[in-house]
Formats: sequence, structure tokens, C-alpha cells
Amino acid sequence: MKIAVCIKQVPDTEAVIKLAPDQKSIVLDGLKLILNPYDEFAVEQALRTKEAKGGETVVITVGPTKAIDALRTAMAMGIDRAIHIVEEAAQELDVATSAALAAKKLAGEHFDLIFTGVRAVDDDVAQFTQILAELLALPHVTQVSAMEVGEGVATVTRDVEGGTKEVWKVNGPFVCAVTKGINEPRYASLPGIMKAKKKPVDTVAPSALGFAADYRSTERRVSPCSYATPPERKAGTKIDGADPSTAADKIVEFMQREARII
Amino acid sequence: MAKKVLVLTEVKNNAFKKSTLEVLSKACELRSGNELELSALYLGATNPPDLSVLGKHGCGKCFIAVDPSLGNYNPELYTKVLTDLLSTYQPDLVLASFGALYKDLVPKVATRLHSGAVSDCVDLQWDGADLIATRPIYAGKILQRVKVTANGTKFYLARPNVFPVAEHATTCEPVTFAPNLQGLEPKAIVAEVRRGTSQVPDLTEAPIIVSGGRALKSAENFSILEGLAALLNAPVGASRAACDAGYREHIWQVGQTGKVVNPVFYLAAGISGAIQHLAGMKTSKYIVAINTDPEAPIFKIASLGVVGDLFKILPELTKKVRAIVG
Repeated sequence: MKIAVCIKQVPDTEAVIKLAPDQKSIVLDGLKLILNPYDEFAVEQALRTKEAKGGETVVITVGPTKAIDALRTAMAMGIDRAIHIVEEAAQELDVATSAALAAKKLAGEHFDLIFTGVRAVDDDVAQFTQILAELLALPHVTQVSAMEVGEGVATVTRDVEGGTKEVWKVNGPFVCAVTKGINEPRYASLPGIMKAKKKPVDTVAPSALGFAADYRSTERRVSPCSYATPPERKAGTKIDGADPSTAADKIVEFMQREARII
Repeated sequence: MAKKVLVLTEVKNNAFKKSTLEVLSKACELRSGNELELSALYLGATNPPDLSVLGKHGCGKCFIAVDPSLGNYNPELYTKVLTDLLSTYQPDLVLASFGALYKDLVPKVATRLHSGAVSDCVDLQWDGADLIATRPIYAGKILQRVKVTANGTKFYLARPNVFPVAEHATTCEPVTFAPNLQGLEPKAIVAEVRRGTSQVPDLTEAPIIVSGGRALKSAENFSILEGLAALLNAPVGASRAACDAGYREHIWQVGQTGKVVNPVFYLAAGISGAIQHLAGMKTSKYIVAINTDPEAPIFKIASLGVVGDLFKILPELTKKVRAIVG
């Protein structure tokens, strides 16, 4: 089986995000960057699928030069090789443009399975999977919390809402967005990290994929206008030292008079 | 010329979902900036519920696409019906709720039409003839203003539980739209739907949420929250620490790597308030926190903070709430 995993490098979830003074962009310089947490599940699922079925695993990203670190992380976990579509201004691309770049490259090789994380924790757009699948004319399943790959047919569980799950049957190649709970991602071992440094990385420029110099504007479907910091939330009343019954009375009173929910 | 707005509806337990009425209500409000012709689409295997509820919320027309194969969600079939309708009706805007269904479907449809979609809008406003969305990014640390700039139909997905439901009484006329699904054999199909046993609303749509953290100490101890949650018809959420410790399934996790929630009332019991949890719930209208640590970060954003032992306070609270609502 030939398996691809699409990943994104994102700021650490604990990072404090700042705006440029003109409020037109976000300052990412100096932030700790990590492999998107949901993509770790995608990498792990690709590795497990390969371990069960044999084959090859390939990790791909659209990102600036420094995104190589995220690709190396995936290879340190065990992915065989990487494709790096280098776009220094990747942060400014909309999801349709990143998906178009990835689709063009992935269409050049035949993959039996393409994994993604269910969403990236930076922009929270959650559209890459569906757009990529549509561009590749493949089916997709999102919010996947369990899967079993058989001969030509996969059984996939999708978390819907409120505990409801759909069990999908998928014939042939497809794009699969995995969510937390599907597996426990492995840690990269020290030998894994050493090996990752020597694994092949195919570095590709958008122009090499046939994208014209002005593709950043021509491919774009969605455009940001400005950014703002949300208003800070202020603390309300704090009760300390009350006995449990009094504390409960205060909460009940709050539920009735302020929140008006009972 | 009036702009055409199509709202994609969603049905649960044979009634239009509240999230659909929220989107319709917002669409009605947008009539004050531009002249709008408002219609809706219903897709399904059987006839829709009573349309008068759509009329009550300002929708004058509902396209009805019924076909036996539209019972379970299928991206390929739904995309075909939707793109066929959009090609004929040619709306300027399509609005839908950012729930499991349209979150999955709309990007595919928009891509097939060479257009784009904005996810998770918490505000929609006109700037002249352009519709500008505000959406949280970096788990709400930043708000982004964004618009669809592709030509043709533009798609916006609204976060559930944000836009208030309002009445704008009119009469909703049904318009039959016959799906043409001949020759389509989807490679991916839903073979089985396993309904959740819980009757409570999903975290993202619930007006009240009762959540527990690592201080609950075990999966069994979550029962202390379940009694209260049942009285309030609320789902029981959990922090990442609690989910990672195996106390609760990940689908109930609130936070940056779980669900982002927006209820009227959020009870955080034994949750210290890691930045990643706060990111997922700090837009709740009212937050009540119970924690033994007076310095817990959750108290910095709580409307009411109670320093104390949840194992002693919650049984008292449950008893008192039961006396009122039970």
C-alpha cells in the first residue's frame, strides 16, 4: 500500500499569538512551532496501516523552509520519505490554494490512502481534506475515530454529534481525516530521529507544479481583511471558605438570577 | 436587484434543528443592509417536517429534494443535488451551520463550483455589497475578519449557539426540486448509523454544559456530574487532562484539541483552566468554576468562582437543583 500523510506546522497550542501593529497580519516570528496535534494521529495511523499491510509512507506539507522540522518529526516517528512544497508565505495562502498545491503533487503518484488531521489548530478551517479529495476526484471521510483496512475496502467510523457514530464502507483509494481517540501516537525514538535526518526529502517549488508566479492571488477563494484581539474576559465574584451547602446555595442563586437557566 | 440567499437546513428527530433557525434568523437580520430573497433547502429520504417553522423565522420558500438514497449522509450524492440546485437557482450566498454535516459537505460543494467557504463564523456583517465574516482563529486567541472573494455563489458556515433565534413571520412555500442521481455509485457510503444513547444535545449546540477535570480522579467519579447534568439536560464535558487520563471519551473533550463550545452556562468542576481548555470555552456567557486551588487560572475568567471541594459541593448542588427543577 502506498500511503500519504498531509501535515501542517503550527504554533504550539500554549503560544501567545500577537498581531502586527497594523492589525493586518499575525506575528509568528519566535514562536515555538510543532507538528499540528491532529496530524500526529494521521502519521500514527499511516504507520499502523503500513505495519499491517506493508508498503510505503510519504509525508507531505505546503510550508516555509522551516516546515522541514515538522516533516522530520513525522519521519522520526517512522514515515519513509517526505515531499516539501516550499512556499515561504504559506501562512498567507487560503486553504483552497494549499490544497490545490498538494493535490497537484499527489496526483503525480498513485496513493491508496491519504491521511490528514481533522483540522489544524492554527486557523481551525477544517476544509483541507474535503477540498483535496474533491480535486483528486476521491471520496473522503472526516472525523474518523476508528478504521480497518481490508482488501480493497475499508471500514471507517466517523464521529458525528452527541455520541452518534456512522460506520462507512469505502471502496478503493480515499482521503481520511482522523481525530483524537483513533490511536496513541508513538514518540520518536533516538535512532528514529537520527535516521530521519538521512531520509529523502523531495523539495518542490510551486512553479515546478505548473503554478504561475501570481498563483497566490489567482487561486485564492477566501481573503482575510483584518485581525483583532478579542476582549479580555473579567473575573466575577469569588467565594472562598464557604461550607458546601452555602457554596451550593450561591451557585443555585447564580443559576436562577444571573444565568436564568433554572 | 435582490441578493438571493439560500439556507441549508438540518433536521433531527423530525424537526428542523435550532442551528438551522439560528442561521435563518441571522439571514433575516442581514436584510437590513441589502435587499435579500431568502430561501431554504431540505434534503432527505422522506418529506420534510412542517415548513411553517421556517416561515416563522422569515423563510419564504423551501426547495425540497427527496430521494430514497438521501437518507444517510453521502458527500457525493448530496454534492450532486446541491450543485444542481445551485447551478439553476444561482444564489449569491449560501449559509449553513458549522455542524458535522455541512462542515463536511460545503467545502466539497464550494470546490466543485470553483468557489470558497468561510468556516465557523461568529459574526456576519455587510461591508457594502460584501459579506464579511468574523471568525476565531488560534482557538479564539485572535479574531479574523474574512470574506469569500471567489466569483459566483459564496459560502459561509455559522458557529452553532452564537446567533440568536428571532421571529420574522412569513409563509414558507414548498418548491419541489427533483434530484437527478442516476448513474452515481458512490465509492464511500454510510453502512450503519449507531445512535448515541444520550438524549442530550451535542457539546457544540448545548445551552448548558457541565464539565469535569482531572480532579474528578476517575471515570466512575464523573457520575457525580451526570446527576446534575441530567437535571439540566446538559452534556457532560471534560478537560484534555481528564480525557487523556481515560476518565471520559475524547468526543466529550472541550478545548483547543477538542470541541469549542459556546453555551449560556458552563460549569467547570475540578478544571484548573489550562490555556488550551480556556480557548475552548471562554466565550460561554456564564462560567461557574469549582476548584480547591484558589489560584487556579479558571477563576480569572469565571463569572462565579467557588473555592472548595467538588466532591462535597456537587452533591449539595445536585440536591438543591433537583428540589427546583425535578
